Amino acid sequence: MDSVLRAAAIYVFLLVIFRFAGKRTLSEMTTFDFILLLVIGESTQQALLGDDFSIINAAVIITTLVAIDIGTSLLKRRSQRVEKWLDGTPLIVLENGQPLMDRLNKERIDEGDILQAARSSQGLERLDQIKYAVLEKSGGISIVPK
Amino acid sequence: MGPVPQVKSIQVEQDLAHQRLFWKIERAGWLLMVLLIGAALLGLSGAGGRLNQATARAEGVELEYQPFMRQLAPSQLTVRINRAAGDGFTFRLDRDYLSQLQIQAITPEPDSVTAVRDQLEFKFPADESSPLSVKLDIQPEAVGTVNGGIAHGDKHLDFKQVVYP
Repeated sequence: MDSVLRAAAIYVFLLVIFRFAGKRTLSEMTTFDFILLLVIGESTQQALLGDDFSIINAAVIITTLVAIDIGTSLLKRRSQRVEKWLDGTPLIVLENGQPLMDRLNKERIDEGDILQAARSSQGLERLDQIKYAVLEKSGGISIVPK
Repeated sequence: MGPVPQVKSIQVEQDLAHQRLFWKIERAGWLLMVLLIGAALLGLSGAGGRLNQATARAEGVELEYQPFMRQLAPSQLTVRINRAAGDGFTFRLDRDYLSQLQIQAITPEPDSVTAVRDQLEFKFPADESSPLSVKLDIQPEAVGTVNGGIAHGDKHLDFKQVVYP
């Protein structure tokens, strides 16, 4: 019973903390972000396993985590509201070459991030070549050229 | 799920009202994170910290304990006792309290541990200098509020500890 509750508590905690961290936090990984992720994984592991290193404990925890994940994905399919709260919504951050500054500031991204996405995905050179830049739910920026 | 709405010429599920509300919640979440870290630095989440040291005193006995503990994590009790007349050093701990944790070590080691009604009596060598400081390394097992009691002669001290999961 303990393992299931532990897994559920950690799942909810991680969900909330990474929603607070924002869309971009781990989407574009720098080397440091990668290390941070490993350290977070390491500290989570201790809390998940407790002092029980048995295979059955690991099996119960993994099953619980995957089951909760399937459960939330089913919930998200049923209700758009749940999906919005759990995953967020895409956000247009640039329109017809004009960056929407208040949105960029709130999401802690800048024109450089949009230009980087424009270069790597479309081979574009300037902001005025972009019709729409959309900050996706996944944290990536997608570019619609003019 | 309904159809994906169209915003201007691009078909995207943008919801600005939701997004604005969420930004507010996100900022509140950041504040919450700062408060949690602050509370942890002060000791309110257990382990070290200024607010996680408490002392209870009665005549001839003093107890230092941590008000906030974590399940299965090491914690300490320090008992300082004066020599009782002709009786060496003794103190008694409630067995109810002891049933909710494990004692990993007692320094110095007691001469004897005996059950006295609903308490355990710890007796130490009489030739130690007074007051005697005894350190108990404990590890809480139960989660929630733990009520402790320690007695020395006819003096009794009650204390309360919280154990986080």
